[in-house]
Amino acid sequence: MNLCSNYFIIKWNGGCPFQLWNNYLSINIVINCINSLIVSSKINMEKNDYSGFGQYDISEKLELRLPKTEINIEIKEGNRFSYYRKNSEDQEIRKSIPQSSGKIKIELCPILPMNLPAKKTNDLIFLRLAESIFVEKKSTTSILIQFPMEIGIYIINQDETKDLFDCFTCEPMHSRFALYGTPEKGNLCMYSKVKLLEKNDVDPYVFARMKVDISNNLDEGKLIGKLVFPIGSHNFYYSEGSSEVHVDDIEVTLKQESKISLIDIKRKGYVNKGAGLKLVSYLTTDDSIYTMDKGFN
Amino acid sequence: MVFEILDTQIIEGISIWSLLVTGIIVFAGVIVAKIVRMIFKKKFAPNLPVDTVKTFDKLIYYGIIIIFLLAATASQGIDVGALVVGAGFLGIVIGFAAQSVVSNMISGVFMLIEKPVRQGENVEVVDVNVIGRLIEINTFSSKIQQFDGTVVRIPNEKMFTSNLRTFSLSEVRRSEVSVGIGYGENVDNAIKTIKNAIEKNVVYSLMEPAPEFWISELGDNSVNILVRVWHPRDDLAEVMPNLLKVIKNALDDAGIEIPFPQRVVWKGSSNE
Repeated sequence: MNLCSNYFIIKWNGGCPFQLWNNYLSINIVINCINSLIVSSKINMEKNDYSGFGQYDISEKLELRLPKTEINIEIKEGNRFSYYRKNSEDQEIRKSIPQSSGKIKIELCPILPMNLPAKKTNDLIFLRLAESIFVEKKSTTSILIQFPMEIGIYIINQDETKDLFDCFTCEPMHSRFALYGTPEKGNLCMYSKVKLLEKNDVDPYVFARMKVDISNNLDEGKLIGKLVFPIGSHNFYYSEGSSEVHVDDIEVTLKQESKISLIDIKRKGYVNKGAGLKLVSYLTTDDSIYTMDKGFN
Repeated sequence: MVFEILDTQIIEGISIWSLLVTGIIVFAGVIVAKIVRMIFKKKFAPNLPVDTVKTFDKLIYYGIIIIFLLAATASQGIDVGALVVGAGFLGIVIGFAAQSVVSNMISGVFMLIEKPVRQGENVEVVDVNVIGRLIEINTFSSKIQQFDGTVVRIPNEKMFTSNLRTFSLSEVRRSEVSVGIGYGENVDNAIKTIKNAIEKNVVYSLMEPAPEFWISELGDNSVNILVRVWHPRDDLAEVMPNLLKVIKNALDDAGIEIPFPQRVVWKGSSNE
Protein backbone atom coordinates (compact mmCIF):
# COMPACT_ATOMS: atom_id res chain seq x y z
CA MET A 1 0.00 0.00 0.00
CA ASN A 2 2.78 2.37 0.99
CA LEU A 3 4.93 1.39 -1.94
CA CYS A 4 2.08 1.78 -4.29
CA SER A 5 1.29 5.28 -3.05
CA ASN A 6 4.95 6.22 -3.21
CA TYR A 7 5.25 4.94 -6.74
CA PHE A 8 2.45 7.12 -7.94
CA ILE A 9 3.79 10.19 -6.20
CA ILE A 10 7.31 9.66 -7.54
CA LYS A 11 6.03 9.21 -11.04
CA TRP A 12 4.06 12.41 -10.76
CA ASN A 13 6.98 14.43 -9.36
CA GLY A 14 9.55 13.34 -11.93
CA GLY A 15 13.14 14.90 -11.92
CA CYS A 16 16.77 13.60 -11.67
CA PRO A 17 17.56 10.31 -9.84
CA PHE A 18 19.11 12.09 -6.84
CA GLN A 19 16.15 14.43 -6.61
CA LEU A 20 13.90 11.44 -7.03
CA TRP A 21 15.62 9.65 -4.12
CA ASN A 22 15.26 12.76 -1.95
CA ASN A 23 11.66 13.09 -2.95
CA TYR A 24 11.11 9.43 -2.17
CA LEU A 25 12.64 9.77 1.29
CA SER A 26 10.72 12.90 2.24
CA ILE A 27 7.44 11.56 0.88
CA ASN A 28 8.03 8.26 2.63
CA ILE A 29 8.53 10.05 5.93
CA VAL A 30 5.31 12.03 5.45
CA ILE A 31 3.38 8.89 4.53
CA ASN A 32 4.81 7.02 7.48
CA CYS A 33 3.78 9.88 9.73
CA ILE A 34 0.28 9.82 8.27
CA ASN A 35 0.13 6.04 8.69
CA SER A 36 1.30 6.23 12.28
CA LEU A 37 -1.30 8.92 12.91
CA ILE A 38 -4.01 6.70 11.44
CA VAL A 39 -2.83 3.75 13.56
CA SER A 40 -2.63 5.83 16.74
CA SER A 41 -6.05 7.33 16.12
CA LYS A 42 -7.35 3.81 15.56
CA ILE A 43 -5.88 2.79 18.91
CA ASN A 44 -7.44 5.86 20.50
CA MET A 45 -10.77 4.98 18.94
CA GLU A 46 -10.52 1.49 20.36
CA LYS A 47 -9.57 2.82 23.74
CA ASN A 48 -11.90 5.78 23.75
CA ASP A 49 -14.77 4.42 21.78
CA TYR A 50 -16.86 4.72 24.91
CA SER A 51 -18.91 7.73 25.89
CA GLY A 52 -17.23 10.08 28.32
CA PHE A 53 -18.59 11.21 31.65
CA GLY A 54 -20.39 14.53 31.64
CA GLN A 55 -23.65 16.23 30.76
CA TYR A 56 -25.68 15.51 27.64
CA ASP A 57 -28.55 17.52 26.15
CA ILE A 58 -31.04 15.29 24.42
CA SER A 59 -33.68 16.57 22.05
CA GLU A 60 -34.05 13.55 19.77
CA LYS A 61 -31.75 10.64 20.39
CA LEU A 62 -28.66 9.73 22.37
CA GLU A 63 -26.63 6.55 22.30
CA LEU A 64 -24.12 5.91 25.06
CA ARG A 65 -21.61 3.11 24.82
CA LEU A 66 -19.83 1.84 27.91
CA PRO A 67 -18.00 -1.42 28.58
CA LYS A 68 -20.55 -4.26 28.51
CA THR A 69 -23.36 -1.72 28.51
CA GLU A 70 -25.42 0.04 25.87
CA ILE A 71 -27.79 2.91 26.56
CA ASN A 72 -30.26 4.47 24.19
CA ILE A 73 -32.46 7.43 24.93
CA GLU A 74 -34.85 8.63 22.24
CA ILE A 75 -37.93 10.75 22.03
CA LYS A 76 -41.22 9.04 21.27
CA GLU A 77 -44.64 10.40 20.46
CA GLY A 78 -46.12 12.83 22.93
CA ASN A 79 -42.78 14.20 24.20
CA ARG A 80 -41.99 10.98 26.03
CA PHE A 81 -38.37 9.94 26.29
CA SER A 82 -37.76 6.22 26.17
CA TYR A 83 -34.74 4.96 28.10
CA TYR A 84 -33.24 1.58 27.29
CA ARG A 85 -30.19 -0.08 28.85
CA LYS A 86 -28.72 -3.48 28.05
CA ASN A 87 -25.91 -5.05 30.03
CA SER A 88 -23.46 -7.84 29.34
CA GLU A 89 -25.86 -10.47 30.65
CA ASP A 90 -28.47 -9.35 28.13
CA GLN A 91 -30.67 -7.93 30.84
CA GLU A 92 -32.77 -5.09 29.49
CA ILE A 93 -33.99 -2.15 31.51
CA ARG A 94 -36.63 0.16 30.08
CA LYS A 95 -37.84 3.37 31.64
CA SER A 96 -39.87 6.30 30.43
CA ILE A 97 -39.51 10.03 31.01
CA PRO A 98 -42.49 12.18 30.01
CA GLN A 99 -41.16 15.69 29.40
CA SER A 100 -43.35 18.57 28.30
CA SER A 101 -40.43 20.69 27.04
CA GLY A 102 -39.40 18.05 24.50
CA LYS A 103 -35.78 17.92 25.65
CA ILE A 104 -33.92 16.63 28.67
CA LYS A 105 -30.49 16.98 30.13
CA ILE A 106 -28.70 14.09 31.78
CA GLU A 107 -25.39 13.59 33.51
CA LEU A 108 -23.38 10.42 33.23
CA CYS A 109 -21.05 10.25 36.19
CA PRO A 110 -19.35 7.91 38.65
CA ILE A 111 -21.18 7.25 41.91
CA LEU A 112 -20.27 5.48 45.12
CA PRO A 113 -20.41 1.69 44.96
CA MET A 114 -23.23 1.26 47.45
CA ASN A 115 -26.34 0.58 45.37
CA LEU A 116 -25.70 -2.73 43.62
CA PRO A 117 -26.80 -5.47 43.76
CA ALA A 118 -28.87 -3.83 46.53
CA LYS A 119 -28.31 -1.12 49.12
CA LYS A 120 -27.69 -3.05 52.30
CA THR A 121 -24.56 -1.80 53.99
CA ASN A 122 -23.90 1.09 56.33
CA ASP A 123 -21.66 2.73 53.68
CA LEU A 124 -18.66 0.55 54.58
CA ILE A 125 -16.38 -0.72 51.86
CA PHE A 126 -14.00 -3.67 52.15
CA LEU A 127 -11.08 -3.38 49.75
CA ARG A 128 -9.10 -6.63 49.56
CA LEU A 129 -5.66 -5.79 48.21
CA ALA A 130 -4.55 -8.21 45.50
CA GLU A 131 -1.02 -7.83 46.92
CA SER A 132 -0.53 -7.27 50.63
CA ILE A 133 1.63 -4.28 51.48
CA PHE A 134 4.45 -4.54 53.97
CA VAL A 135 4.96 -1.29 55.86
CA GLU A 136 8.21 -1.03 57.77
CA LYS A 137 8.20 0.09 61.38
CA LYS A 138 8.07 3.85 62.00
CA SER A 139 7.76 4.61 58.32
CA THR A 140 5.39 6.28 55.89
CA THR A 141 4.55 5.38 52.34
CA SER A 142 2.02 6.21 49.63
CA ILE A 143 0.36 3.92 47.15
CA LEU A 144 -2.22 4.25 44.40
CA ILE A 145 -5.00 1.69 44.34
CA GLN A 146 -8.14 0.95 42.40
CA PHE A 147 -11.41 2.08 43.93
CA PRO A 148 -14.60 0.51 42.55
CA MET A 149 -17.38 2.68 41.25
CA GLU A 150 -20.86 2.44 39.91
CA ILE A 151 -22.13 4.65 37.12
CA GLY A 152 -25.12 6.86 37.67
CA ILE A 153 -27.40 8.63 35.26
CA TYR A 154 -28.87 11.76 36.73
CA ILE A 155 -31.74 13.74 35.28
CA ILE A 156 -30.92 17.43 35.56
CA ASN A 157 -34.01 19.41 36.47
CA GLN A 158 -34.74 22.92 35.23
CA ASP A 159 -33.52 24.39 38.52
CA GLU A 160 -30.21 22.48 38.01
CA THR A 161 -30.97 20.01 40.82
CA LYS A 162 -30.24 16.39 39.99
CA ASP A 163 -32.19 13.19 40.56
CA LEU A 164 -30.60 9.77 40.24
CA PHE A 165 -32.48 8.07 37.43
CA ASP A 166 -30.52 4.86 36.95
CA CYS A 167 -27.34 3.25 38.18
CA PHE A 168 -25.40 0.27 36.98
CA THR A 169 -21.96 -1.27 36.96
CA CYS A 170 -19.78 -2.23 34.04
CA GLU A 171 -18.24 -5.06 36.06
CA PRO A 172 -20.74 -6.90 38.29
CA MET A 173 -17.93 -8.89 39.95
CA HIS A 174 -17.02 -5.71 41.84
CA SER A 175 -20.51 -5.30 43.29
CA ARG A 176 -20.30 -7.92 45.96
CA PHE A 177 -20.58 -8.16 49.75
CA ALA A 178 -18.19 -9.23 52.51
CA LEU A 179 -18.17 -9.35 56.26
CA TYR A 180 -15.59 -7.44 58.25
CA GLY A 181 -15.16 -9.22 61.57
CA THR A 182 -16.85 -12.31 62.95
CA PRO A 183 -20.39 -13.40 62.11
CA GLU A 184 -21.51 -12.36 65.64
CA LYS A 185 -19.96 -8.91 65.68
CA GLY A 186 -19.00 -8.21 62.10
CA ASN A 187 -20.16 -5.50 59.74
CA LEU A 188 -21.56 -6.11 56.31
CA CYS A 189 -19.55 -4.21 53.69
CA MET A 190 -19.44 -3.72 49.96
CA TYR A 191 -16.49 -5.72 48.64
CA SER A 192 -13.97 -5.40 45.86
CA LYS A 193 -10.62 -6.98 45.18
CA VAL A 194 -8.34 -4.18 44.03
CA LYS A 195 -4.90 -3.89 42.52
CA LEU A 196 -2.10 -1.47 43.17
CA LEU A 197 -1.75 1.00 40.32
CA GLU A 198 1.22 2.44 38.49
CA LYS A 199 1.15 6.14 37.73
CA ASN A 200 -0.53 5.83 34.32
CA ASP A 201 -2.71 2.78 34.91
CA VAL A 202 -6.40 3.32 34.35
CA ASP A 203 -9.35 1.01 34.31
CA PRO A 204 -12.07 3.26 32.99
CA TYR A 205 -15.71 2.91 34.04
CA VAL A 206 -14.92 0.20 36.58
CA PHE A 207 -12.33 1.73 38.89
CA ALA A 208 -11.37 5.19 40.03
CA ARG A 209 -7.89 5.93 41.37
CA MET A 210 -7.33 6.38 45.07
CA LYS A 211 -4.18 7.50 46.85
CA VAL A 212 -3.50 5.86 50.18
CA ASP A 213 -1.01 7.48 52.57
CA ILE A 214 0.16 4.91 55.09
CA SER A 215 2.11 5.62 58.24
CA ASN A 216 3.20 2.90 60.60
CA ASN A 217 3.64 4.12 64.18
CA LEU A 218 4.31 0.62 65.48
CA ASP A 219 7.64 -0.80 66.54
CA GLU A 220 7.39 -3.58 64.01
CA GLY A 221 6.68 -3.90 60.31
CA LYS A 222 3.16 -5.00 59.38
CA LEU A 223 1.38 -6.48 56.38
CA ILE A 224 -1.81 -4.78 55.26
CA GLY A 225 -4.07 -7.00 53.21
CA LYS A 226 -7.37 -5.17 53.44
CA LEU A 227 -8.79 -1.72 54.01
CA VAL A 228 -12.24 -1.19 55.48
CA PHE A 229 -13.70 2.29 55.86
CA PRO A 230 -16.91 4.30 55.40
CA ILE A 231 -17.31 5.90 51.98
CA GLY A 232 -20.48 7.93 52.49
CA SER A 233 -18.63 11.23 52.34
CA HIS A 234 -16.14 10.40 49.60
CA ASN A 235 -16.24 12.53 46.46
CA PHE A 236 -15.41 11.57 42.89
CA TYR A 237 -13.57 13.87 40.49
CA TYR A 238 -13.69 13.54 36.72
CA SER A 239 -13.04 15.76 33.72
CA GLU A 240 -15.83 16.25 31.19
CA GLY A 241 -15.70 13.87 28.24
CA SER A 242 -13.04 11.72 29.88
CA SER A 243 -13.27 8.36 31.58
CA GLU A 244 -10.54 8.86 34.16
CA VAL A 245 -11.88 9.25 37.67
CA HIS A 246 -10.26 10.07 40.99
CA VAL A 247 -11.70 9.64 44.43
CA ASP A 248 -10.78 11.32 47.71
CA ASP A 249 -7.56 10.02 49.25
CA ILE A 250 -7.34 8.24 52.57
CA GLU A 251 -4.86 8.43 55.42
CA VAL A 252 -4.05 5.11 57.03
CA THR A 253 -2.32 5.05 60.42
CA LEU A 254 -1.17 1.86 62.10
CA LYS A 255 -1.16 2.18 65.87
CA GLN A 256 -1.25 0.13 69.06
CA GLU A 257 -4.07 0.16 71.61
CA SER A 258 -4.32 -2.26 74.54
CA LYS A 259 -1.65 -4.48 72.95
CA ILE A 260 -3.74 -4.78 69.78
CA SER A 261 -2.58 -3.37 66.46
CA LEU A 262 -5.24 -1.22 64.85
CA ILE A 263 -5.63 0.92 61.79
CA ASP A 264 -7.17 4.38 61.79
CA ILE A 265 -8.54 5.51 58.44
CA LYS A 266 -9.43 9.09 57.64
CA ARG A 267 -10.76 10.65 54.45
CA LYS A 268 -8.58 13.30 52.86
CA GLY A 269 -9.62 15.51 49.94
CA TYR A 270 -8.11 14.59 46.56
CA VAL A 271 -4.79 16.44 46.46
CA ASN A 272 -4.61 17.23 42.74
CA LYS A 273 -8.12 18.55 42.28
CA GLY A 274 -8.08 21.42 39.82
CA ALA A 275 -10.49 23.81 38.21
CA GLY A 276 -11.11 21.53 35.23
CA LEU A 277 -12.36 18.64 37.29
CA LYS A 278 -16.04 18.06 37.97
CA LEU A 279 -17.01 16.96 41.42
CA VAL A 280 -19.57 14.30 42.26
CA SER A 281 -20.30 15.13 45.84
CA TYR A 282 -22.55 13.63 48.46
CA LEU A 283 -24.31 15.55 51.16
CA THR A 284 -22.77 13.81 54.16
CA THR A 285 -19.48 15.30 55.22
CA ASP A 286 -18.48 12.97 58.00
CA ASP A 287 -14.73 13.27 58.41
CA SER A 288 -14.50 11.19 61.54
CA ILE A 289 -11.81 8.54 61.89
CA TYR A 290 -12.81 4.92 61.34
CA THR A 291 -10.86 2.34 63.32
CA MET A 292 -10.27 -1.09 61.86
CA ASP A 293 -10.21 -3.07 65.09
CA LYS A 294 -11.02 -6.50 63.68
CA GLY A 295 -7.77 -7.15 61.84
CA PHE A 296 -6.24 -5.86 58.63
CA ASN A 297 -4.40 -8.74 57.00
CA MET B 1 -88.71 19.07 83.85
CA VAL B 2 -85.31 18.54 82.27
CA PHE B 3 -83.54 19.09 85.60
CA GLU B 4 -85.82 16.56 87.24
CA ILE B 5 -84.86 13.98 84.63
CA LEU B 6 -81.18 14.80 85.04
CA ASP B 7 -81.45 14.47 88.80
CA THR B 8 -83.03 11.05 88.56
CA GLN B 9 -80.96 8.53 90.51
CA ILE B 10 -80.13 5.42 88.47
CA ILE B 11 -78.58 3.66 91.40
CA GLU B 12 -77.81 5.14 94.76
CA GLY B 13 -75.44 8.13 94.39
CA ILE B 14 -75.33 7.98 90.59
CA SER B 15 -77.67 10.27 88.71
CA ILE B 16 -78.12 10.80 84.99
CA TRP B 17 -76.46 14.22 85.42
CA SER B 18 -73.35 12.74 87.06
CA LEU B 19 -73.14 10.12 84.32
CA LEU B 20 -73.47 12.84 81.68
CA VAL B 21 -70.69 14.90 83.30
CA THR B 22 -68.53 11.79 83.57
CA GLY B 23 -69.16 11.07 79.91
CA ILE B 24 -68.22 14.64 78.93
CA ILE B 25 -65.00 14.49 80.98
CA VAL B 26 -64.08 11.10 79.47
CA PHE B 27 -64.87 12.46 76.01
CA ALA B 28 -62.58 15.41 76.75
CA GLY B 29 -60.01 12.87 77.90
CA VAL B 30 -60.25 11.04 74.56
CA ILE B 31 -59.70 14.32 72.71
CA VAL B 32 -56.72 15.22 74.94
CA ALA B 33 -55.31 11.69 74.47
CA LYS B 34 -55.61 12.01 70.70
CA ILE B 35 -53.88 15.40 70.72
CA VAL B 36 -51.03 14.13 72.94
CA ARG B 37 -50.71 11.03 70.76
CA MET B 38 -50.52 13.23 67.66
CA ILE B 39 -47.81 15.42 69.23
CA PHE B 40 -45.89 12.29 70.29
CA LYS B 41 -46.07 10.86 66.78
CA LYS B 42 -44.86 14.09 65.20
CA LYS B 43 -42.18 15.13 67.68
CA PHE B 44 -40.74 11.97 69.20
CA ALA B 45 -41.77 8.95 67.12
CA PRO B 46 -39.43 9.60 64.16
CA ASN B 47 -36.41 9.10 66.42
CA LEU B 48 -37.65 5.91 68.12
CA PRO B 49 -37.83 2.29 66.98
CA VAL B 50 -41.17 1.25 65.48
CA ASP B 51 -42.11 -1.21 68.23
CA THR B 52 -41.27 1.31 70.99
CA VAL B 53 -43.46 3.88 69.23
CA LYS B 54 -46.38 1.45 69.14
CA THR B 55 -45.99 0.59 72.83
CA PHE B 56 -45.74 4.22 73.94
CA ASP B 57 -48.58 5.18 71.65
CA LYS B 58 -50.93 2.75 73.37
CA LEU B 59 -49.65 3.62 76.85
CA ILE B 60 -50.15 7.36 76.29
CA TYR B 61 -53.57 7.00 74.72
CA TYR B 62 -55.13 4.62 77.19
CA GLY B 63 -53.23 6.10 80.17
CA ILE B 64 -54.72 9.58 79.59
CA ILE B 65 -58.21 8.17 79.11
CA ILE B 66 -57.95 6.17 82.37
CA ILE B 67 -56.72 9.26 84.25
CA PHE B 68 -59.66 11.29 82.93
CA LEU B 69 -62.05 8.47 83.77
CA LEU B 70 -60.79 8.33 87.37
CA ALA B 71 -60.94 12.13 87.61
CA ALA B 72 -64.49 12.09 86.29
CA THR B 73 -65.69 9.45 88.73
CA ALA B 74 -63.99 11.21 91.65
CA SER B 75 -65.49 14.59 90.68
CA GLN B 76 -68.98 13.12 90.64
CA GLY B 77 -68.54 11.44 94.00
CA ILE B 78 -68.73 7.97 92.56
CA ASP B 79 -67.09 5.63 95.07
CA VAL B 80 -64.17 4.20 93.12
CA GLY B 81 -63.01 2.21 96.15
CA ALA B 82 -66.17 0.16 96.11
CA LEU B 83 -65.78 -0.26 92.37
CA VAL B 84 -62.17 -1.37 92.79
CA VAL B 85 -63.16 -3.92 95.45
CA GLY B 86 -65.96 -5.07 93.21
CA ALA B 87 -63.61 -5.14 90.25
CA GLY B 88 -61.09 -7.11 92.30
CA PHE B 89 -63.65 -9.72 93.13
CA LEU B 90 -64.86 -9.72 89.56
CA GLY B 91 -61.23 -9.96 88.46
CA ILE B 92 -60.71 -13.16 90.41
CA VAL B 93 -63.83 -14.67 88.90
CA ILE B 94 -62.86 -13.56 85.41
CA GLY B 95 -59.26 -14.59 86.03
CA PHE B 96 -60.29 -18.17 86.67
CA ALA B 97 -62.70 -18.12 83.79
CA ALA B 98 -60.35 -16.46 81.35
CA GLN B 99 -56.96 -17.64 82.56
CA SER B 100 -55.49 -17.96 79.10
CA VAL B 101 -56.70 -14.51 78.07
CA VAL B 102 -54.99 -12.90 81.06
CA SER B 103 -51.93 -15.05 80.51
CA ASN B 104 -51.74 -13.91 76.89
CA MET B 105 -52.07 -10.30 77.94
CA ILE B 106 -49.32 -10.54 80.56
CA SER B 107 -47.08 -12.45 78.12
CA GLY B 108 -47.61 -9.66 75.60
CA VAL B 109 -46.49 -7.07 78.17
CA PHE B 110 -43.39 -9.14 79.03
CA MET B 111 -42.59 -9.56 75.36
CA LEU B 112 -42.71 -5.81 74.89
CA ILE B 113 -40.39 -5.38 77.89
CA GLU B 114 -37.93 -8.20 77.12
CA LYS B 115 -38.04 -7.78 73.33
CA PRO B 116 -36.76 -11.23 72.34
CA VAL B 117 -37.65 -10.18 68.81
CA ARG B 118 -38.59 -6.83 67.38
CA GLN B 119 -41.37 -6.00 65.00
CA GLY B 120 -40.25 -6.26 61.40
CA GLU B 121 -37.60 -8.90 62.10
CA ASN B 122 -37.57 -12.46 60.83
CA VAL B 123 -38.20 -15.12 63.45
CA GLU B 124 -38.79 -18.82 63.70
CA VAL B 125 -41.14 -19.95 66.47
CA VAL B 126 -39.62 -23.38 66.84
CA ASP B 127 -42.37 -25.03 68.92
CA VAL B 128 -45.10 -24.27 66.42
CA ASN B 129 -42.86 -24.46 63.37
CA VAL B 130 -43.69 -21.02 62.04
CA ILE B 131 -41.10 -18.94 60.18
CA GLY B 132 -41.71 -15.42 58.98
CA ARG B 133 -41.58 -11.72 59.72
CA LEU B 134 -43.05 -10.51 63.01
CA ILE B 135 -45.50 -7.85 61.94
CA GLU B 136 -47.33 -7.06 65.18
CA ILE B 137 -47.44 -7.76 68.89
CA ASN B 138 -50.99 -7.09 70.07
CA THR B 139 -52.61 -7.34 73.50
CA PHE B 140 -53.41 -11.03 73.25
CA SER B 141 -51.57 -12.32 70.21
CA SER B 142 -48.72 -11.74 67.81
CA LYS B 143 -48.90 -11.88 64.06
CA ILE B 144 -46.20 -13.44 61.88
CA GLN B 145 -46.29 -13.09 58.14
CA GLN B 146 -44.85 -16.23 56.58
CA PHE B 147 -42.82 -16.02 53.40
CA ASP B 148 -45.75 -17.32 51.35
CA GLY B 149 -47.69 -14.20 52.37
CA THR B 150 -50.05 -15.87 54.84
CA VAL B 151 -50.30 -14.42 58.34
CA VAL B 152 -50.22 -16.68 61.40
CA ARG B 153 -51.71 -15.44 64.66
CA ILE B 154 -49.91 -16.90 67.65
CA PRO B 155 -51.21 -16.35 71.21
CA ASN B 156 -48.68 -14.29 73.16
CA GLU B 157 -48.33 -16.97 75.84
CA LYS B 158 -47.26 -19.55 73.27
CA MET B 159 -44.94 -17.06 71.64
CA PHE B 160 -43.39 -16.09 74.98
CA THR B 161 -42.83 -19.65 76.21
CA SER B 162 -41.61 -21.02 72.84
CA ASN B 163 -38.04 -21.26 71.68
CA LEU B 164 -37.49 -18.38 69.29
CA ARG B 165 -34.85 -18.56 66.58
CA THR B 166 -33.97 -15.08 65.40
CA PHE B 167 -31.57 -13.83 62.78
CA SER B 168 -31.29 -10.23 63.87
CA LEU B 169 -28.19 -10.30 66.07
CA SER B 170 -25.87 -10.82 63.13
CA GLU B 171 -25.85 -8.98 59.82
CA VAL B 172 -25.15 -12.22 57.98
CA ARG B 173 -26.26 -15.83 58.06
CA ARG B 174 -25.14 -19.06 56.50
CA SER B 175 -27.00 -21.43 54.20
CA GLU B 176 -25.90 -24.82 52.98
CA VAL B 177 -26.68 -27.30 50.28
CA SER B 178 -25.30 -30.73 49.54
CA VAL B 179 -24.24 -31.90 46.10
CA GLY B 180 -22.92 -35.30 45.01
CA ILE B 181 -20.28 -35.92 42.36
CA GLY B 182 -19.20 -39.18 40.79
CA TYR B 183 -16.44 -41.29 42.37
CA GLY B 184 -14.42 -40.94 39.20
CA GLU B 185 -14.31 -37.14 39.37
CA ASN B 186 -11.50 -34.98 40.74
CA VAL B 187 -12.87 -33.50 43.98
CA ASP B 188 -10.55 -30.46 43.99
CA ASN B 189 -11.52 -29.61 40.44
CA ALA B 190 -15.21 -29.93 41.28
CA ILE B 191 -14.82 -27.67 44.33
CA LYS B 192 -12.94 -25.09 42.28
CA THR B 193 -15.65 -25.18 39.61
CA ILE B 194 -18.42 -24.72 42.16
CA LYS B 195 -16.54 -21.93 43.97
CA ASN B 196 -15.99 -19.96 40.77
CA ALA B 197 -19.60 -20.39 39.74
CA ILE B 198 -20.91 -19.20 43.11
CA GLU B 199 -18.61 -16.17 43.16
CA LYS B 200 -19.69 -15.20 39.67
CA ASN B 201 -23.39 -15.92 39.74
CA VAL B 202 -24.68 -15.85 43.32
CA VAL B 203 -24.42 -12.11 43.81
CA TYR B 204 -25.51 -12.11 47.45
CA SER B 205 -22.94 -14.72 48.47
CA LEU B 206 -20.23 -13.08 50.59
CA MET B 207 -16.75 -13.01 49.11
CA GLU B 208 -15.34 -13.02 52.66
CA PRO B 209 -15.93 -15.35 54.45
CA ALA B 210 -15.70 -17.27 51.22
CA PRO B 211 -17.93 -20.28 50.50
CA GLU B 212 -16.80 -23.38 52.40
CA PHE B 213 -16.68 -26.91 51.03
CA TRP B 214 -16.69 -30.07 53.12
CA ILE B 215 -16.71 -33.64 51.93
CA SER B 216 -19.65 -34.62 54.09
CA GLU B 217 -20.03 -38.22 53.05
CA LEU B 218 -18.67 -40.96 50.82
CA GLY B 219 -22.15 -42.05 49.85
CA ASP B 220 -23.48 -45.14 48.12
CA ASN B 221 -23.45 -43.51 44.73
CA SER B 222 -21.58 -40.24 45.09
CA VAL B 223 -19.01 -38.21 46.93
CA ASN B 224 -21.19 -35.68 48.75
CA ILE B 225 -19.91 -32.14 49.08
CA LEU B 226 -21.48 -29.79 51.61
CA VAL B 227 -21.47 -26.22 50.26
CA ARG B 228 -21.78 -23.49 52.87
CA VAL B 229 -22.42 -19.94 51.75
CA TRP B 230 -22.62 -16.79 53.87
CA HIS B 231 -24.99 -14.05 52.77
CA PRO B 232 -26.77 -10.97 54.17
CA ARG B 233 -29.29 -12.22 56.73
CA ASP B 234 -32.43 -11.13 54.86
CA ASP B 235 -31.42 -12.56 51.51
CA LEU B 236 -32.13 -16.24 52.03
CA ALA B 237 -34.81 -16.09 49.35
CA GLU B 238 -32.31 -14.57 46.89
CA VAL B 239 -29.59 -17.15 47.54
CA MET B 240 -31.16 -20.54 48.16
CA PRO B 241 -33.33 -20.92 45.03
CA ASN B 242 -30.34 -19.92 42.91
CA LEU B 243 -27.58 -21.87 44.60
CA LEU B 244 -28.35 -25.41 43.45
CA LYS B 245 -29.15 -24.19 39.95
CA VAL B 246 -25.78 -22.43 39.68
CA ILE B 247 -23.92 -25.49 41.02
CA LYS B 248 -25.73 -27.88 38.69
CA ASN B 249 -25.08 -25.71 35.62
CA ALA B 250 -21.41 -25.26 36.56
CA LEU B 251 -20.85 -29.00 37.01
CA ASP B 252 -22.66 -29.74 33.75
CA ASP B 253 -20.57 -27.17 31.88
CA ALA B 254 -17.37 -28.64 33.32
CA GLY B 255 -18.46 -32.16 32.39
CA ILE B 256 -18.44 -33.30 36.02
CA GLU B 257 -20.86 -36.12 36.65
CA ILE B 258 -23.66 -35.79 39.19
CA PRO B 259 -24.53 -39.46 39.69
CA PHE B 260 -27.90 -40.88 40.56
CA PRO B 261 -28.67 -44.24 42.16
CA GLN B 262 -28.26 -47.11 39.73
CA ARG B 263 -29.01 -50.76 40.20
CA VAL B 264 -27.36 -53.45 38.11
CA VAL B 265 -29.54 -56.54 37.66
CA TRP B 266 -27.68 -59.72 36.76
CA LYS B 267 -29.77 -62.23 34.98
CA GLY B 268 -28.69 -65.73 35.95
CA SER B 269 -28.18 -68.26 33.11
CA SER B 270 -30.40 -71.38 33.15
CA ASN B 271 -27.28 -73.53 32.50
CA GLU B 272 -25.60 -72.52 35.73
